[in-house]
Amino acid sequence: MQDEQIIDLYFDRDENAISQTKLVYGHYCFAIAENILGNREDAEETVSDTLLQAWNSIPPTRPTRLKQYLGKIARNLAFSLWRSSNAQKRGADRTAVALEELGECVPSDSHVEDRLQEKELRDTINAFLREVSERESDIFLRRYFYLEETRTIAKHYRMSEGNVLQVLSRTRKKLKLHLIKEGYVV
Amino acid sequence: MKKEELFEAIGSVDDELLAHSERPVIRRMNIGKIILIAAMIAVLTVSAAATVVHFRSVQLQDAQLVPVKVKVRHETFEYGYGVILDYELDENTPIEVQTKYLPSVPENWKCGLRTSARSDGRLIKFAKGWYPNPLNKDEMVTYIQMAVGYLEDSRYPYADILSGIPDGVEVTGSPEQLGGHDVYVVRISAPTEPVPNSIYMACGETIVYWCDGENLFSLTCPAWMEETQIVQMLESLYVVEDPFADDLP
Repeated sequence: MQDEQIIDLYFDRDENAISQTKLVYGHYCFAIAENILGNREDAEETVSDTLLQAWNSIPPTRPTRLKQYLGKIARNLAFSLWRSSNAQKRGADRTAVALEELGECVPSDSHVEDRLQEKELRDTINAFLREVSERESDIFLRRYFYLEETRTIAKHYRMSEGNVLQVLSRTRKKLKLHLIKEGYVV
Repeated sequence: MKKEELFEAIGSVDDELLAHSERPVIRRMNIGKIILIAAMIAVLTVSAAATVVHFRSVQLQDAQLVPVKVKVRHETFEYGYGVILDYELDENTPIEVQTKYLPSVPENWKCGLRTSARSDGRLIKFAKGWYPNPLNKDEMVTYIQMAVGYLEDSRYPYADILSGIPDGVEVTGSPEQLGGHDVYVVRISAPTEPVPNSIYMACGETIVYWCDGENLFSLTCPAWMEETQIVQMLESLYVVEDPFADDLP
């Protein structure tokens, strides 16, 4: 079923919308959630919550890209769950590692008033990702949006893992400079 | 700002950027690979046709290359010279890919190589390679076997290509008739992983060869595609309004 048809089901309040969404994008959402949570059961729960949130938000929202819309919901829900379940026991799981890497871009000793409006920061990230090369942007998102392993990214692009790590490191440095330039961190 | 906030912000990036990161990779071949594949195809063809031409006598410098323009997503890239043999496009991408490669080959050979794709097919590659003309059925089967051997062992150096037909290759029974043409379906069962740096990603995929009694054609299909789907696709290939339709049998 095409996205438009699925979205129409939501607008008609037809519960088949949920089963169709799960059929088409369930695996995609599951993969994102599992990457973040590292746990199948929690990931399945996140997919269910994603479907529920989609049901509650469409309408009035009419996503232009249903797949990415669902992916973002799944990612946000999974991250919230990860944060609550890992508050006491931060370990070296995939999400923790990715956060550590991102920590390079936002030094903890920043003295600037750094609580940003969510939209401003999102716009800044979007602008940054449009500034860098498409390949850098893609690899960055595969790593920090989808939390893919670097070796998976390397395989996808037919690069060496070392090369991917290099690209990521370079992109993080660029992001840090971008954030400094925009006055978000010092 | 905390790293968690940055992580969350990344979760709100534009859909367009996300969608781009999900796209399959379009692989582009550099001139070295192009020359190499030209040599390989020539080697296979020469060997398969049992001509007196030894592959080492193929003079690559004799090849007359023409510029290749590739148009994908309404953007024209100029590669100078080359061939796009292998690419993946998602179904939403408007497709217009042209390649030409015109080497000097014996007069009785047809030549030309191009790829094409249809917007319904996700990964569809169509390549017309070198082949002796005329080509009889026996020669074609030999060619297929050699080509499969090449696909199976597309690592360098390519001298190993001629080492024989690998295990796990099956040329299905008698050829099916399609539009008056013989269609052979060749399945490659191993290895299932693409060989790094290989020219084809075909391992684990299905290669369909067919012959109109004179020309040999091939089509590489995704591994998930059933034979019935392949036949349907081939049927549609014959009727599709294709800018290269003149080249189709």
